[in-house]
Amino acid sequence: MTAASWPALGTTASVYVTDANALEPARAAVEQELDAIDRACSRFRDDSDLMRANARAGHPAPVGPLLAEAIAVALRAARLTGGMVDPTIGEALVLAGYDRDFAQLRPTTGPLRAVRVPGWHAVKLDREHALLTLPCGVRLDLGATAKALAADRAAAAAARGADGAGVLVNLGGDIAVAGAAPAQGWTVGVGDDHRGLADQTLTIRGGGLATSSTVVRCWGPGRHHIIDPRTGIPAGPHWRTASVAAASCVDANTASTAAIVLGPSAPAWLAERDLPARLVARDGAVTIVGSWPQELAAA
Amino acid sequence: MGSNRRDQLVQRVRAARWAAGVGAAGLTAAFSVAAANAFKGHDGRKAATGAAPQQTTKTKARHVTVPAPDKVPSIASDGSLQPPEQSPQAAPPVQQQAPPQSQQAPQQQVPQPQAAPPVSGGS
Repeated sequence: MTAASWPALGTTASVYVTDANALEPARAAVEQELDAIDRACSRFRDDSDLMRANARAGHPAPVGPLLAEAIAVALRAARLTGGMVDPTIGEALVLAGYDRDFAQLRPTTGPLRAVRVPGWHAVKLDREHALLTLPCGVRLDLGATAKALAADRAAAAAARGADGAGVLVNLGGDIAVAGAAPAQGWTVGVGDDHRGLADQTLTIRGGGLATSSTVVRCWGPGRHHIIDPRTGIPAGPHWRTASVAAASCVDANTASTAAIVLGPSAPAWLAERDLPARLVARDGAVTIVGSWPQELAAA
Repeated sequence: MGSNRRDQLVQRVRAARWAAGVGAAGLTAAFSVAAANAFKGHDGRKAATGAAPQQTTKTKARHVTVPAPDKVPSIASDGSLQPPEQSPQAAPPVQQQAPPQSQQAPQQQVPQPQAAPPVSGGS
């Protein structure tokens, strides 16, 4: 397994290939996809399609095909989670303090300010005419799904460019695989922080694996990037980390984010959907859901 | 009653019937025009010309858009989150070391013959 890593999308991007000769074309394909996603969906660059669309709230705004796809994915996530993963949390994130690139945030304390989340039903996306209409004052944030979508798209693009080699793309913990997997599967770790040590090691052969956490992208007590749309403030502290495997990274990330928001009811919700998951409570207690493997003892 | 008197009465009846027919036709036309103009959006003049761009625009605006099947993203019609085809399998812990790249690392590409396994974690 050969790999390359570089900073991208405010986190670390990595591409792994089964054939060393495929690394460069795979990496080039991933970089191209990430650049396109950043230009379309970033909330932190004024020239992104998303920022332009947010600025035109109240009026129909033209959107490019990639942003339209990302919004459609976000709306689908909202629908399939009963609104637990909602793209209309942009204003709530800003009020919580996440108003600039995470690397530029400073620790914040004090009471949280809540704002009513408008809800995904308020978003009107006309894909046929490439028009997005947001109600006045509504700001979209696609952070819950766009990075996972980028991982899925990048893995598929890299596999096409890798001439049949297997490819794994890891975008800050959002993992997507494409092409022929290694004979033993892809060995991956799961943990609180994608930059840290793994708490468990497992193998996957396809689809995606995503982890949502309240302890990494945070900037003060109770301040993290996963907003509970029901309250308009960061989700409660029941789970600190949720890892989910699914048929795609988008589905995995949708479910892991929903699990953080759902809190105590997350295991039942995941089990109903047959999604293997590993949930870590605030005190470190691990809950395994469905066919997620039990941890093996170190040799 | 003489024949002249009878002929006069017949003529009057015929005239009255003709007048009633003309009147009925006129009232029918008048009511038709009134009804045709009673509803918003109808424009008899433009309809008569056969060219009604404004009406066409309004029709499009009211039209419920149903994208063609090939324009619907594959996931948009999907009714549920999809589990993986194969569940993750347990693997023995690898000799761990922190991945060499961090969020603050300078831009670099590091080909690694034996790269550390990727970690799915918070970011």
